Amino acid sequence: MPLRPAFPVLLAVLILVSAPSGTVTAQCCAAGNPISSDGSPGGTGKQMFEISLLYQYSYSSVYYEGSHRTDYKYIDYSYFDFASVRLSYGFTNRLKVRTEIGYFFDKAQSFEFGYDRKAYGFGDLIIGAQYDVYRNVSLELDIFPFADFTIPVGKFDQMNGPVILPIDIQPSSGSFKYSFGLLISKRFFSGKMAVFLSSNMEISQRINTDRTNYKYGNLYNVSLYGSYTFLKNFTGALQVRTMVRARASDAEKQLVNATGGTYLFLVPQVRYTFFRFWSIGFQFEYPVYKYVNGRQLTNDYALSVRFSRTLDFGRKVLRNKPTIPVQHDPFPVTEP
Amino acid sequence: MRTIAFLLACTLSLTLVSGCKKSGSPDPNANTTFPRFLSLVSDKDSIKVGGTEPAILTCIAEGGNISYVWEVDLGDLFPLNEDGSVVRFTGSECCLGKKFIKCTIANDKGSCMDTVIVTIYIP
Repeated sequence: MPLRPAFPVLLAVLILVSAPSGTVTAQCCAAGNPISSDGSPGGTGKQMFEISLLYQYSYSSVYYEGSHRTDYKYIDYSYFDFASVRLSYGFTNRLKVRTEIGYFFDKAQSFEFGYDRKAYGFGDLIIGAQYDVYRNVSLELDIFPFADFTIPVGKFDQMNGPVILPIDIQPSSGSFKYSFGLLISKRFFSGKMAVFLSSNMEISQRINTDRTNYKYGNLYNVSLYGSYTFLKNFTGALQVRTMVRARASDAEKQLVNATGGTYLFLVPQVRYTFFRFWSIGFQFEYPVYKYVNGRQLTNDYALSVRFSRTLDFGRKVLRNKPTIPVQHDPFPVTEP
Repeated sequence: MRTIAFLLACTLSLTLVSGCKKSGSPDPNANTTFPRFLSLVSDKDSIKVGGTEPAILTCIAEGGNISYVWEVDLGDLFPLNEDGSVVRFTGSECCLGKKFIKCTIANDKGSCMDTVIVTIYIP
């Protein structure tokens, strides 16, 4: 099926998706980068390069037991300030590769019995790719399988005085992770409205060092995302995402109590595109349903801002073509 | 004569000044020996989940100029004194069971590691 000339530009509508990079449970006890998958299809056209900067703040203070909130306190509250840089490049109109590195300015826990601790430093490095295996231009339908590989390059041995901090507060997850997923994109009204369905699975390799023998539970995400462009350059979006985290296993290969659970998130987003290739987006992530194994600290909310710039190195191909504004996808959802 | 006296006075002054210099601080590692545990104990073998009844872990070592490093895979350690030889240990529900808390002592002569076990349970 022949491509419309403007299709590469339309593909630039789609922002890259970075599959989850793995966290232990809710963001309270998460090690490594927070998940940065926006549930929308990521895609830039051939020779399209995108750089985006993300800042996220997350706060956790509520303990849950099963699906019920409790008054139990151990960690009084926990929060982090996180930033990441993501680069993506379309080698062809179908194949895009991406990489992301994160940094924790602050990752803190305050305990109910009067002690605090903090960590900071680089998190994990993520390298991934997606491929548009099915494209139906007339139906405006695309299917993208994608894969990501997480490398724990950051700090995993931060200390609080004479104490090496536990894994749940270290900036890096300390574990190699593999993620595979599928994303289906359907656009309506010439791309003014879009619906995306995404699912992925993440498997963590066991951490086996002198200090730590631990394996994070597998992570499963299913996300339904809808966006609508209103006014000239504003896009509003809403994502509903279900996340299931299996229980972790310890040095004896036994499942760890009070790890894992099921969460349902509501994620409203708004994005503003300007000067054609720039965009800024805001996102609020709220868990509307939680079910945890045992009793765990859970995430209250997360706020994110993403700033993106797209460069079209193949612009000369489009020099004589009608200009179509580049729409940047809402930025990735960050997992608690 | 006056010149000689002046030179002698200058020489004497310089000598006094150099002699009044503070001698350098004694080398903290001058009298150290290979670090050795004298004891590594916990005041409790088992503790309830939560932070209200911690186990207090104390390390006594010899060797001079000892530094301490504590670690555990799951659970929470906080130092209780300045040199880090005493810490408190607690854990939440994700940390049930036997916890092997490692203490490493070190100085310029080397390092040594030992382990103390504390069990966390739900009452």
